[in-house]
Amino acid sequence: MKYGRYFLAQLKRIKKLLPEMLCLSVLFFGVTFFVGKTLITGSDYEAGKIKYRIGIMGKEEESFIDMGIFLLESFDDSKYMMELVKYTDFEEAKSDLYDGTLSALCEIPAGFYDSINYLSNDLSIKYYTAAGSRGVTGVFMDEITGIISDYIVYSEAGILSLYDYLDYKGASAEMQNEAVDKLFMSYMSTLLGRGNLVTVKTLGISNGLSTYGYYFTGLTLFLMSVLSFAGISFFIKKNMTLDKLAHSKGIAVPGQIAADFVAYFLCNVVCVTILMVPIFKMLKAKLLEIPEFFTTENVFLFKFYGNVLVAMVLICMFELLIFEVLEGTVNKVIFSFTIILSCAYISGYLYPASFFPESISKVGSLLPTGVAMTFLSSFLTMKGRESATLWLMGYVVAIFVVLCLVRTKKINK
Amino acid sequence: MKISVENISKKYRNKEVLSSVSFEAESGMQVGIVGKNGIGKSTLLSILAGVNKADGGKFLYEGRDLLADKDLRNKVCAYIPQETPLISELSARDNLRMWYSDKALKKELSEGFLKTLGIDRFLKVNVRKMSGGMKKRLSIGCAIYADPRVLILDEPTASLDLECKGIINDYLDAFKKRGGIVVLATHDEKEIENCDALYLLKDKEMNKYVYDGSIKNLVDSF
Repeated sequence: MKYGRYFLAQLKRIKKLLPEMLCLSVLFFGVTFFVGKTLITGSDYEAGKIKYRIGIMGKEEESFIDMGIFLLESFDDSKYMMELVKYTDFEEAKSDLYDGTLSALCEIPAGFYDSINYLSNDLSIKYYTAAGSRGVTGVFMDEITGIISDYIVYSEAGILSLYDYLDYKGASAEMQNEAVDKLFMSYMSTLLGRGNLVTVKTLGISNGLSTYGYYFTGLTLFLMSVLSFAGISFFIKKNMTLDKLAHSKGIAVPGQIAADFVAYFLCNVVCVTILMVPIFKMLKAKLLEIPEFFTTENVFLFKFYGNVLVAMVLICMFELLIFEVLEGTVNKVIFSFTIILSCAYISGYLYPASFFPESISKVGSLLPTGVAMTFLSSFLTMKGRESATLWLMGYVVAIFVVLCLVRTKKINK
Repeated sequence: MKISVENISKKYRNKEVLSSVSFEAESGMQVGIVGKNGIGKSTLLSILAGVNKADGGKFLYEGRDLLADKDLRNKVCAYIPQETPLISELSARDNLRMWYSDKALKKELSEGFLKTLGIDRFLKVNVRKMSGGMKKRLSIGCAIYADPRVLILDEPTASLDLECKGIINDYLDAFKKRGGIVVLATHDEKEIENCDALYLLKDKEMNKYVYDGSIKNLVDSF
């Protein structure tokens, strides 16, 4: 038996399955697109962060409330978790609290500023919350209370210390008040200027990618992973008798594996290429905006496509291994589906891997699916290309060797 | 032309399946191997075909050991296993193309054994849509691409209708008349009757059985 004829037969096999694979590919593309849209444009991820809305209400003059809100938002701990909203009408604030617009409401009583100024601490801030959100907003209330307490306690300590010192030095009441006012303004200007001390830059979710870039990469790889099920019939009805006979006729195991892989890979290339066309069109038309796609010139898109194909080599090789190891139609369908989806999930295709516990995140990054993710990410971030490529090539070679061993064992059974 | 199988032995996970199995055959002979299901008939045939490895023994063809000479074995022997080694997604023609060159295929379909087997009548049929008889004939057609001298068949007419059995038996007769040797495992009475020598595989060993025409006696000796 000549190898060329055997190889051609595998290509003919996959050609027969191509229409079925294309139909299923379109279906999977639709599902992946829907999943992606839900993940990326869901309200929780729209701004890349989740915030709780806390209402601040008071009968004091507007500048005091505004200054207070500004001071609270200057603290790092609260900056990304809370959004503070000013209210002057208690009924309006209560209505928003009831309908869920607010998570909680803080009411600053009349005269609160003066009582702080006169170091009396007689008045307290009232806190309102809806029963369902008591738990989490209670945490935020503790946060706000802590911040306000710190302001009050430490500034009071400073002010009282100054009074004592000036009194000891025999300064007049007028001089003491002038000095304390200066100290107080010094405190305020330090706190007000705190926001200018640091520049905050959001680097994205993980791998150095932006939120959109991360999900675009993950979902592209997820689509490629599920495309394998479109070609599952290539493996289910595979005739082991023919493999054994071909082996006895001189078609060595590596040659058989290579023929199977190339046929399967080429079919996936056709499906992915067809699906990439609408994606690229959306990128060019700005219907899809990925920060890492700094240009939608054809050269860049073609380079991205090339990298997708390279990542797909690893994914196809990995799936070939799963189908080769599993025996029986039911096992091939059910377990391969479970394994591939699990690997895709742990590797962060659908949910940022950095959100998982470190041990799981590490495992995910070492799986073939994780290596593919790292490789494709490295193209978009232009970081770690060499190591990502080496890892990918190493995995491809290793999986090929394992495939040969598994097939040899099956033939010799 | 003569073949000689000498002391073939085989173990599966330390369990001996075949022990010192031997037999001989000459041109124009049909050798039948009978025995209970699971006794090792298929294993023996697959060893002779080179699909399985023997733990010991020789398969001599004109004095040369075919178990050691893969190229000669592929040239001389054709193996038709019980399960048809066909690609179900492809047609009969595409399956044949895996084995034959285009020129050889055209010749065999027009005047050779492929025509004798009737394969020219269902060339475009997809294997999935073929009957058992068509698949078996196609398997034989694929196996004889190298114009072999020895045919090794594992229950060639099992589950086939009378017409297909007739076609295959006619083909085997024609093959023997050309000087070929047929070695087959069988449970079929007609095939047993056509055998020039019958061997009974029992308790890991194989011994010649003189068939007296009574299937009952044969079965009793299993």
